[in-house]
Amino acid sequence: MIPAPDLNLSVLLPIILVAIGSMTILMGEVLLSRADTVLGREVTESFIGTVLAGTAIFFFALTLWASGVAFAGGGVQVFNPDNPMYQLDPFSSFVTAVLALSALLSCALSITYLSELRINHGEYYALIMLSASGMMLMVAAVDLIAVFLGLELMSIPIYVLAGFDRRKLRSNESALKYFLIGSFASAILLYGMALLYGVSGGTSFEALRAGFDADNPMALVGLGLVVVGFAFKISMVPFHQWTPDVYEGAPSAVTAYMSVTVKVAAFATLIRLLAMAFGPLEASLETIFWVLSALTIVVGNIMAIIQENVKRMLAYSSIAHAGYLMIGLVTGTIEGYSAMIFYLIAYTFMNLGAFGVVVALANRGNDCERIASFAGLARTRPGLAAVMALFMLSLAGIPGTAGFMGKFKIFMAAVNSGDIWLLIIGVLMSVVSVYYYLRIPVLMYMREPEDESHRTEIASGEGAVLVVCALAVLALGLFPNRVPTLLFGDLDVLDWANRSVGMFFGG
Amino acid sequence: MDQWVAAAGFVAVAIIVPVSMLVGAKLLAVTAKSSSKLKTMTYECGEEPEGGAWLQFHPRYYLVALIFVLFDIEAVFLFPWALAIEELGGLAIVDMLIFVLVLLLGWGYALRKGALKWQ
Repeated sequence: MIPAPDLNLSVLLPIILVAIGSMTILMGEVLLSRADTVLGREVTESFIGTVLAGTAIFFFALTLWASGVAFAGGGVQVFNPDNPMYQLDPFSSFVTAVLALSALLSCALSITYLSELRINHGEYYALIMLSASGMMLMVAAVDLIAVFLGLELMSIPIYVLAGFDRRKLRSNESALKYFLIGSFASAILLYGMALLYGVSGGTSFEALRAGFDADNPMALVGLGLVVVGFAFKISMVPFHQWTPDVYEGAPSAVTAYMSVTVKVAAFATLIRLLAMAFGPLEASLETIFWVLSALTIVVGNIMAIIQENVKRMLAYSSIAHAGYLMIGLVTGTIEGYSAMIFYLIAYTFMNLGAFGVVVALANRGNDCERIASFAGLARTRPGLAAVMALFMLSLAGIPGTAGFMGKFKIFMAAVNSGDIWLLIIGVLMSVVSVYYYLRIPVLMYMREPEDESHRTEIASGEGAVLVVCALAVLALGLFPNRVPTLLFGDLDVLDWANRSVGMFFGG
Repeated sequence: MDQWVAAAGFVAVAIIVPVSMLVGAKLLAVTAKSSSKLKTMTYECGEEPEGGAWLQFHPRYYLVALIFVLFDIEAVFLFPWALAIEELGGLAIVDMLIFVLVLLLGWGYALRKGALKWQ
């Protein structure tokens, strides 16, 4: 009798929920598309889409609840005590909750958009759920193999999603580019992992930490390759060239989803890798991340200035934000990491909101892409113009918004760990960014409307997402330590961010 | 310093192995002396090929191949499981049922979507 391993399945509960959700959606799509009427209602394309999106939202809400309960409970649970592949701890449950929330918002954002673009297929939600389950696996992983498994499960559905508007050439181009670059990145990452395994004799983070020999060049090469692999995923300069093309070509709702969640998952995994596995190498990593961070901030912001397409502009802006986030990696302190987590939450809301406005303007198969087409929006769509202005101010980091609070926390962490030059670069480039972010409010409020046919009414799903994002941006900017909610009392997001990374510092 | 030597040796081996394989293949390969048609055929004996090999395949082949991979993977996991099932006990049967169920769902989806219809 081979003893059965003492598996703790509750560790994987959020991921299992999402996976069951994706299978339910696949089966539901097949069954619904064969039926003529369900409960007396005629089955149409948009009916199927709404039902499946509702299913996805339901399962994400369950996941959010499950990981929230796990976070409130605290403590660390391991999947398999003999070979800890996955770990449910405050960090993974908190990041999982953030991922579930942003995936939920993306699903609500997509319902009307997909039928506007006539790409209303149930697989969309199944693919979103599959990639979300990959992200959740990745942030819970404490083993290189598990990290790689999660990364691939996250990436492959997103390659498909990027090409989801399969009749459009640009969407196909986007998917193919992302797929080719992404596979190279995965291969590089895997090579790095192999070298690290060779050096330390184990794939778990604990074994890596114990067996790491910082003088061994092989270890440094492996570490470098792993960093490069992740750099592709979070589009650090100089590994960023795919970002604008992919973000531009993919359907806007997909761009909203992948620009937010992939960054959250990849940054969270990097934090865990640095804190749990590469501790002995902090000094040399700090230099690498210093250079990458400075480059990313400068190139992202400067390239964003000359863009004429909203999605490209937001793509470069997301590169710049990755640069600000990396300042937290350079500091390597609990303050820096918790600032990163807070910034990621703020970035989730403001970026989803900004892409949400682009989604809400898409009209009959056409994405609203040119920056010039925002002219006079305040006259024609005052509500949308107001929230778009708010998201732009937040992305630029104007006080009173979540973006400001996030940048403030990150820059404070940089000051406290003595990275004054990085702080100066960051602040200067934030000033540059104000130029291109404010172009859109200026166009919306100070120009006459062009003869452009936007959609004239907003769908309830899109409206709800935009309202949630706008309120969250304001609340996180004004009172980050006591976000008022009707249902749950005041929420202390700053304290949550601190508690989630506190476990890496013995807290 | 020793470790740098090891790393250099690793790189050297990584280059020498594929180069020597290519050169070896070049040296050892038997080439048809006469350019008789029989010698240059795909199969020197056996089936006679019809037409050229460089033609476009219908995308349905890919669908069938993908579904084949589904069952291939299933078989890969079923074999060791079947050999060890006596020692693994009852829980293993439940585990494998869940695994097969997930694959069956995928197969059912493909079938319903008409991936195996050939017309």
